[in-house]
Amino acid sequence: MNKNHLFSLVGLTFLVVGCDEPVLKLSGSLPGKLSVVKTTDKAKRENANTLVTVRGFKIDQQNFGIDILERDLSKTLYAFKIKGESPSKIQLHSQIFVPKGFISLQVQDSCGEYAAESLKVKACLSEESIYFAIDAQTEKGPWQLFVHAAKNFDDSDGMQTEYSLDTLVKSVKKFTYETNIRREVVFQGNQNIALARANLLPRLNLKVLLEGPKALFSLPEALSSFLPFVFPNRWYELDRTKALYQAERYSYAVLLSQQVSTAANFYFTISHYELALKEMRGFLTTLETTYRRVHDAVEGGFEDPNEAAIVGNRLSKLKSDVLSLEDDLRQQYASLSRFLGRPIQTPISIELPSLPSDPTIPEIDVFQVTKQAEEKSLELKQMDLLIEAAKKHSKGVTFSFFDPGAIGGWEIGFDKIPRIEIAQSETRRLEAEKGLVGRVLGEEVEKFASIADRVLKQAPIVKSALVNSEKTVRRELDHLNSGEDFNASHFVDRFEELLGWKQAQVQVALLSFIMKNKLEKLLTEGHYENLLAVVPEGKPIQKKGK
Amino acid sequence: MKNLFRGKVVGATLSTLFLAAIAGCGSDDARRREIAQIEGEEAAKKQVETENRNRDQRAKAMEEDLAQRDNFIDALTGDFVGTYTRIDSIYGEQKWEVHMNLTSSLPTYKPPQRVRSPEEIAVDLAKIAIRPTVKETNLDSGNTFGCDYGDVLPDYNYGMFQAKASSCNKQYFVSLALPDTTDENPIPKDSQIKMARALMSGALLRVDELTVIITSNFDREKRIVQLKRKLPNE
Repeated sequence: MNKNHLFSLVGLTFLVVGCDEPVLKLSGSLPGKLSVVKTTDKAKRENANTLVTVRGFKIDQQNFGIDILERDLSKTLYAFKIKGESPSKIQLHSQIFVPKGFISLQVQDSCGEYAAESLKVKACLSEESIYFAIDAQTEKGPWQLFVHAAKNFDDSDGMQTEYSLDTLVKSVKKFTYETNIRREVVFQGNQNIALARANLLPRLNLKVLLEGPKALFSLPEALSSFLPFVFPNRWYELDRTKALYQAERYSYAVLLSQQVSTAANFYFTISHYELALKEMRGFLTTLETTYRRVHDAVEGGFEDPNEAAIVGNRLSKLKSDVLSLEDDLRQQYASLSRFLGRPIQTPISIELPSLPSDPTIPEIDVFQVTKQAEEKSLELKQMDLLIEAAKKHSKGVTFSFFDPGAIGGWEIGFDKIPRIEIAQSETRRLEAEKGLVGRVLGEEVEKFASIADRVLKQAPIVKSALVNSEKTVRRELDHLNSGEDFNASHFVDRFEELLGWKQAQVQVALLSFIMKNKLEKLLTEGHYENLLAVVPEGKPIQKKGK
Repeated sequence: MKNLFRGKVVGATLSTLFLAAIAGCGSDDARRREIAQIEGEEAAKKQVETENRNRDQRAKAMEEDLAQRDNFIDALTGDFVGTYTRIDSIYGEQKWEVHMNLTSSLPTYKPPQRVRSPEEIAVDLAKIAIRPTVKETNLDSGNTFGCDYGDVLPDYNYGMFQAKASSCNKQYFVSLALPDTTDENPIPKDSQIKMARALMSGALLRVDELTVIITSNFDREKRIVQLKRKLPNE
């Protein structure tokens, strides 16, 4: 089952669960975080301390709930949801998805039970805890799942829950060689998911959101840079010459660089969504207040009913956009969790950057930066080493060449990535690929310089436009509050403009950080410095047959 | 030098005698003219006196009229509050408070010691009016709306007035008692007419309750609301 199917299934599960089936209801206080333990060992149930797959009570009240997804030994999925109307009123739906399909628990008092020959399920709610247990006979033997969620969250797993850009990068640099080998697929998947999510932005109703009032900047565009990427099928486990070994080390450093870049992309995208949401929620409050006032004015017979309809329509769109963005944000966090190798359901958050009022972006000398980037490029150095190795290898060693720009489409999987043989016969191709990497590097510098230039030029425009726009909207609101003639169309247009300029302000500030990060990547500085030093030495060189 | 002075004195004496002789010829005509003049002055004086008396009487009547209007408006001056409920399509039952502030366009009139000219009084008569300002507050949301209706001339005989202005989307028909119909020209009740008279005469010094029919440019529905005087300590 691929990820898409998994998500569809989960969505379906919750859709079905949402019907009017009997539910276990608990009214009372079960506030804040819960400690959640899971074990498959019955003996350890009472004292288990493993953190589980629970998306918990830290999320906002609108989405208050816990989702539990588990796979048994046969990798089949179990899913159930505890959802609540509020932190003080939660419900455990009695329909649970198990490998055979949906089962309904027999609800009695505060517990629900299901018992069949190969499957026993029990779920209970109390003032203090949520209890959930599965005993199943699977093809591969007996399997138990026990989840206990109780008050007083003990975040003792030692994992960080709030990430700054620095701590994210540190986490990435701690990725081990073994995990990274497994992570290649995940890494690509996440990169693609992140890009795909960014592409979803236009589905927002109010086009000014996240795009700026005149589409001055595009964060997804700024974030989407990706250099062609070469890596061995299995690091350090092949016959190799010194040059090949060094090439693999550089390849690994490139992977780390891409991972740091991906982490930064997640950080900036999530920061953008968080900051945008914060602004949008503020605007939503203002628009709700305004709508209520206009609505009251209409109801009271002081205003034309059309005025309220216009504001109400815009309010609905903004609400819908806030929900969409919240959903996207959750997806981004889930992607980041996967990227970091954390349980998806354990909440993580981002320490938002403090945005400068006057973003500083250095002027870029394209020629100079390109020259420096070419000199320092890990990718080009790797290609040089591969070419050098190829010249000495008569027998081919397979490397994969990942070029998202060339293959396009985020559904392209790992298996379809072109392969390169590191052998004398492939030297020309390797040189051609090096030329491609060099060209893309040059294009990246050009693109970087272009965005930096736009940000530099537009920053003062955005600043003054924002001041004027704020004044205009304030004046409109004063009109409304003082009982003067109120033109709703005019107001919502001005309001949307202000929203756009606010978003542009956030984007300009974030772009200044993104540009700094991109420059560091191009010049292998800052977070991208000394990546080669982090690269593991690998296993000793072993000649085949020895 | 002496001769010259003597000659001048003799000349002046002769001239005087000549003039006296001429005057003695027309003395009857002069007398008649004198009498006519005296009679004319007396007539004129009488006429002026009559005119003044009439003017004073008119002024007095105007002062009385002004005082009656002033009594009427003065009795209405103050704050009146009432509530009504309407079912809102989104927020359900909403309670609205109507606050009507009535002031006089002229400060309370105190007659001066002197008798004012009718022209002076006419200016006041033309100016005197009620100034209604109405605010409506949704008591659930706290949102307040309102309008200032400027100078409104009341119907002193029937005890009613209409707060209406082109810049305001709501109109308030105010009467001392609930009229029989909510038509635009409702027929006042006898009690209302009697009350209006009592107000003008000063027999009734204060109105504590008003009936208001509220209409809106955007709403066909008419609302009848009873407003009660809001006392200063309330």
